[in-house]
Amino acid sequence: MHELPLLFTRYHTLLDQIGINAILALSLSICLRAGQLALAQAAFMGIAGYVCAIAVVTFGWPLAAAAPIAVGCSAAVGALLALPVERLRGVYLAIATIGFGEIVRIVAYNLQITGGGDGLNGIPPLLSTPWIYGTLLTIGALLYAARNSRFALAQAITREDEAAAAGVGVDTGRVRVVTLACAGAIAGCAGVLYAFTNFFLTPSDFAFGRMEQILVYCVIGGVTSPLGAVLGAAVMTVLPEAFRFLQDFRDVLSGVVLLAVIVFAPGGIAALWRRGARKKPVPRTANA
Amino acid sequence: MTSLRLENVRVRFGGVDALAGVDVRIDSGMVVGLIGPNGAGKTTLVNVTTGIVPPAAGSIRLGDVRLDGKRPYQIARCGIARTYQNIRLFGALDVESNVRAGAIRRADLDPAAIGALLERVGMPEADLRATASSLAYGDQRRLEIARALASGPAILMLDEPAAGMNPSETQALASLVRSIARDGIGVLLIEHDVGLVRKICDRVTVLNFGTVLAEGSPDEIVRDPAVIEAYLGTAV
Repeated sequence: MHELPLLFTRYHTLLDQIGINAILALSLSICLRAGQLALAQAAFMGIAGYVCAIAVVTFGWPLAAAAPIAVGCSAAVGALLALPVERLRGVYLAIATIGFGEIVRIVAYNLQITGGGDGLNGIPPLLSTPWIYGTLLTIGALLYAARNSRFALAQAITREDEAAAAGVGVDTGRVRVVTLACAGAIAGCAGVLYAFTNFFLTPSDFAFGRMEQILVYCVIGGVTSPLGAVLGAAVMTVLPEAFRFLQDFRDVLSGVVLLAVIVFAPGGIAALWRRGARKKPVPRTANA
Repeated sequence: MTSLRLENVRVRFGGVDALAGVDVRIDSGMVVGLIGPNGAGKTTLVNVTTGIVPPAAGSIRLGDVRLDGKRPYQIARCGIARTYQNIRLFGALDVESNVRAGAIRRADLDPAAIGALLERVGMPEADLRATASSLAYGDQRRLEIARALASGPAILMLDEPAAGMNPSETQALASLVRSIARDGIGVLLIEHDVGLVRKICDRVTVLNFGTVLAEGSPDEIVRDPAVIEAYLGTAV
């Protein structure tokens, strides 16, 4: 029994990474549910991480005050970002949001207050693993509770056919704004958690490479399934560590897994368990 | 009584007048047929009413509410529902979600209400969990009508709802459209099956090259020499 604390001590950094990556995957998953290939999660994470760290380290704010404001900032940026990209879809939206991420990274690189390329040092370790998993569970519970809500349905029909969704009275523009605001808030939570468990922030922490990883988590897990996204993040965070003995070739293994999922299970992990637990037909009865 | 009134509506696509000053009126409880050759402007009339294309001139009113200039979702919220010439269901979603989507602005439909709607459109045995794209063609057409009815419309615009249906399905559709009108909903029916139009429509408007060629009762229309020459070919 007392091996558990030992295991935790040994692997807590990996556990933290899994939790934070799972939160980031949820942030992208909520965009993909609405059919938006908006790849700005790394930028949202960076914005909240920097805002919170600067407020605490530079201005001496308490974390309890700085964190909600930081998350609010990334949510507001998400909502504002939805306006100029309103008419963009698919790869065009992806490119525009990747471009936005690069702008955030370059701004962080060139500002003094962020520490520039040297990064922001001395962030106190005020958060830990229970905070990460508490946040992940809270976000997961909120998404689960909202899965049958009208907003979730509005997201799904916007993804399926925007014109037909507007035809039943859905303001698809508003759906996109709210979706990106939620994505900003969720990724912002990951940013705050990352900053206060890693003690150190640099612009490269939020570069395109991280965004690419987040997209892979969702593709492996299943693009519209929040639980799939979490599992995808867990698998793809653990895999490179488990195959560390392969040294430089371990990333090849991650690529092979990605290819295998795309070829053999295009719906990701979520599709596999859905296939396993396919629901029986629900006939409608006259007095149902 | 709520009326949909299109007055002198013009729609231009480049240098072409898709609609060149069209007047159409649909009163609640009335089935108005809209017929004409391909390219006459029938679907464009539905599209301009529902805000998908903007009018170059003219006005569109539902009761006292002016619809032209509003966005499609705002027009839908005013009480205009439609089906599409090429079916536009939410294909990856199940039957239940498609019907719920129709009522998304009004209320959460309970299973009994969803069941009643499906039964009304002729899908009493529908599997609520079946994805919409997996349904037979006729069922997809019926589900699209159920979705439109779920929104509780004042005006329902049906764009070739009988396309691809067999005679018995068309007969059931005729009964459905009449029952919808009896509920006080105004129906605009675009249809090439003149027999169906003659059977269920109170009034018929004939479009040709974006203008109203004729307007009147079904019997008047099928005897109109201009309509026979431009569309019907022979007297029906």
